[in-house]
Amino acid sequence: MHDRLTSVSDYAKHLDAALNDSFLRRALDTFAVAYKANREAVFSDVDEQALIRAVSDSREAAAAQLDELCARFTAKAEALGVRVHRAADAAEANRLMIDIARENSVRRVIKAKSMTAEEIGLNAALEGAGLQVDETDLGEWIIQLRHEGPSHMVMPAIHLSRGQVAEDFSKFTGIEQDREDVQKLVKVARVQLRPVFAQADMGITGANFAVAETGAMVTVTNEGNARMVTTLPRVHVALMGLDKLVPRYEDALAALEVLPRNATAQRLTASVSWISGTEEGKVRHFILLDNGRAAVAKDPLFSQIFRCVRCGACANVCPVYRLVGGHRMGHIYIGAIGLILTYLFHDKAKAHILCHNCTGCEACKTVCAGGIDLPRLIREIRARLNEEQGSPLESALIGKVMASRELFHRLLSFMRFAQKPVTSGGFVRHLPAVLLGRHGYKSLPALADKPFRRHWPELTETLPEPEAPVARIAIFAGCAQDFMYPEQLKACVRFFHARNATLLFPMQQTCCGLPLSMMGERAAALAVARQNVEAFSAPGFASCDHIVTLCASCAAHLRHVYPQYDPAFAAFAEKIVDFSTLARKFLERLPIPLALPDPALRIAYHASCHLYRGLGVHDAPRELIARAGTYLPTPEEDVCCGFGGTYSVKFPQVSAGLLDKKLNACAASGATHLAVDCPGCVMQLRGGADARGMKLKVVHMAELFS
Amino acid sequence: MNSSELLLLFAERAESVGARVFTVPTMADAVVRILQSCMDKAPCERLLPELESATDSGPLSSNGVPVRTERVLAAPGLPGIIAAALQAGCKDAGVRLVTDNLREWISGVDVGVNVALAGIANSGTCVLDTLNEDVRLSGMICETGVVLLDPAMLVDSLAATAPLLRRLHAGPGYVSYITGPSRTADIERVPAVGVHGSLDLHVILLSGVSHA
Repeated sequence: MHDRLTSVSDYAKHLDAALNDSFLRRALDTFAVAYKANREAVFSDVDEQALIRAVSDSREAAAAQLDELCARFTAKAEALGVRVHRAADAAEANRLMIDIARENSVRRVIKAKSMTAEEIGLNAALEGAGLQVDETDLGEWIIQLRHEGPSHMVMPAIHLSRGQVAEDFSKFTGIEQDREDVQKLVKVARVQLRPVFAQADMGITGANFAVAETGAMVTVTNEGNARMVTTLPRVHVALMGLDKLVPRYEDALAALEVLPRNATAQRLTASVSWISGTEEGKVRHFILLDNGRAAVAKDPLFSQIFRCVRCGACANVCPVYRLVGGHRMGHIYIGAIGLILTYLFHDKAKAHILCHNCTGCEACKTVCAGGIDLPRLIREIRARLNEEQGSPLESALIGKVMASRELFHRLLSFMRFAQKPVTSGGFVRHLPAVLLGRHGYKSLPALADKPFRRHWPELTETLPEPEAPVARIAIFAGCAQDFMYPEQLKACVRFFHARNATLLFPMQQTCCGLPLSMMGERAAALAVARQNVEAFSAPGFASCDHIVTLCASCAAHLRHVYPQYDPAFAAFAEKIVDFSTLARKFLERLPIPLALPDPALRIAYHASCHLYRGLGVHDAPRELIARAGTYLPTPEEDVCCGFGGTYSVKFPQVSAGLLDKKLNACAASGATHLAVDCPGCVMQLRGGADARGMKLKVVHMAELFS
Repeated sequence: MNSSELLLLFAERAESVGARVFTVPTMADAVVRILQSCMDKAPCERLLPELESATDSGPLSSNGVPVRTERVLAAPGLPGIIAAALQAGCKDAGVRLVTDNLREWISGVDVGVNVALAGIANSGTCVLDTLNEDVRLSGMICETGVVLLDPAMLVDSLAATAPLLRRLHAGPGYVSYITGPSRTADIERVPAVGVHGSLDLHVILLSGVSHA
């Protein structure tokens, strides 16, 4: 079933297949847009951030007292007649399940949807023991008929069309089923499954929560099938991960406010069952599954996964999931959390392939029901895998080169020389197609003749120190702007100089380290961080008021990740500011007014991931645009353009898909310009527009005012 | 939130998920409403005709399933005064009333009647004590679920139900939160009701029903 993750090249083939699945693309597109609006509506009547904090706090507390919770839950449940087991791993859980079935002379098993059962491969184990197993959740039943795994944690069959379902149902029932009418197809399940419910000997469910104070469990469904699975058969077994334990009802109820809102944009699902103890004449077992969880609970960083309520929201908003679907965005668990749980619960080789398929756009982090820093955990997995298994050659090499500023910058100088014969109009052209391979979807930028750092001495001569400076602003150039787009930095310098600021540029600064961190090169990332903090703490620079960077990705990394490396870096990190925020602040003071907006400039905006979500900057760039020309809102401004640094190199096919969406939206809007706050996005979008022969001018925000 | 605001919010939220909400002044009106829910619907499908010999089959439904000619109303575990009123009403209307051994009716009944312990306004949810297996089954195998709810038992949000859960889980317990009819969106995200349980949910608001 999950054989698509055997090698990087196989994975690439499966990604291609998904990208060519037009039904999947359309279905996930429609879903992504509808989900966002519906989610916002159902969160409008609760305090979203307070609920997320409540979930996060209660789950972290649960992880910290896991043994105690487990003991209390077990004692309480057993006192009410439930038999409670703890399984160390998947094999033990499956064995326990089979033993319970044998002990009770069970032949037929029905199941309600359980990701934990998927995790341990339960169906195969039960069938191997000669048991008849039937899924009762509609989506799970459909994929069971197809011998597939789920492609979403909440909507397991979202990858299938009604026609495909009708075909499977026709085959199963031996009667030709309606291929269009979904209502009728749903009734096929009603008719087919009622006898299955009636005849089952044993029902298996998961649990959404396990409440330690009374030993009760909770199931959350829309179809009501979990109620039937826990009621009709004489034996009920609930399989639950240790992470489902919560101390009190209040913890479960807070999570229940978030779970349906985040999963399917519902205030509550149709049926929630709160079950304690056993009933007369029936047998109930709870199997608490460890499978690595107890160890994870003790990990200072990864214990965060205890906050996951399996809502699937991280997939719902993931731009990569939207393009390639769940079967390519996880092993068993899907979405950002799926990449992480594959590493923790399953196979490290699979995790190694999967964990790079993330652009780092942080969309998941902002919607996570438990406030898990998913992008950080994914970066951490890359680092741990590199440490455990050794870095890939190119990654290790880049790490070595970049840890030394001199070496890195010398290499860039050499490349500038080497590219000369193939460069025109700021792009590298005339490369034989064979060298470009799958990267032909965008024109690649050329390195500038002269990096910004070599412009700096003459710039300082032409722009004299203001008499009464209002602020001292140090520039963090970032590699892309320093070496590819120095004109953007020059525009920034002129903008602030004209408004009476003193500008500073520490020459010893180097790459911010984000690409290294994304590749999992932890030591090199830390080394460059230290160099940068030292460069900006040197005499003459330490007293600056702001450190401005025109690169949203650098800014978010410097601001948020540096203090994680070393708390002593916090003073540096606090001074980091993006161009738009600082420019708006200066325009509010207005020593030099801007020219009136030029109505001929019809400017669309792309909200760079690391600016919009990373730094939470929403209004400043849009206000600036409106002062330069006509702001032209386009749909989904805040969805990733597909650059993602090394991501676009590793997954060109997905990157191109994301880029297409952006450029299509711009083309439809009639924009003359597309403004962004990040040179990575400029590289991606400008390269894409050039490759398509579009007239659209892709500019950095700073360039709007030059 | 005052009680009339809670009531309005409950009705709005319950209806937004496909439930129908009725307010009736007296027990007699509630019985009339329940019987109406039973008579207005299409005849019940017999999903397991072979398990059931007590009733006659009519023509096939649009799903290709034989329907039952007789109307069946399941109302186990109701307080005595309501049970008596309903029994009289069913007799007059020619509806078969079932109050126990619901397992014999897994093939389906027209209506299942339950009394809610509480209602949650913000989500339009009915909270039911369903430890009694017949009570639980009546809500699962019916085509139309009917829940009697006392407006005095409305709370604003999920969080307010913690004490109730704690009380009902002091021993073996099974508490069901029901929000609209059973539904799914598993095929192309198209909303559809009744993949397993009720196709419709009718909530009847009746003051004092919690003390009946």
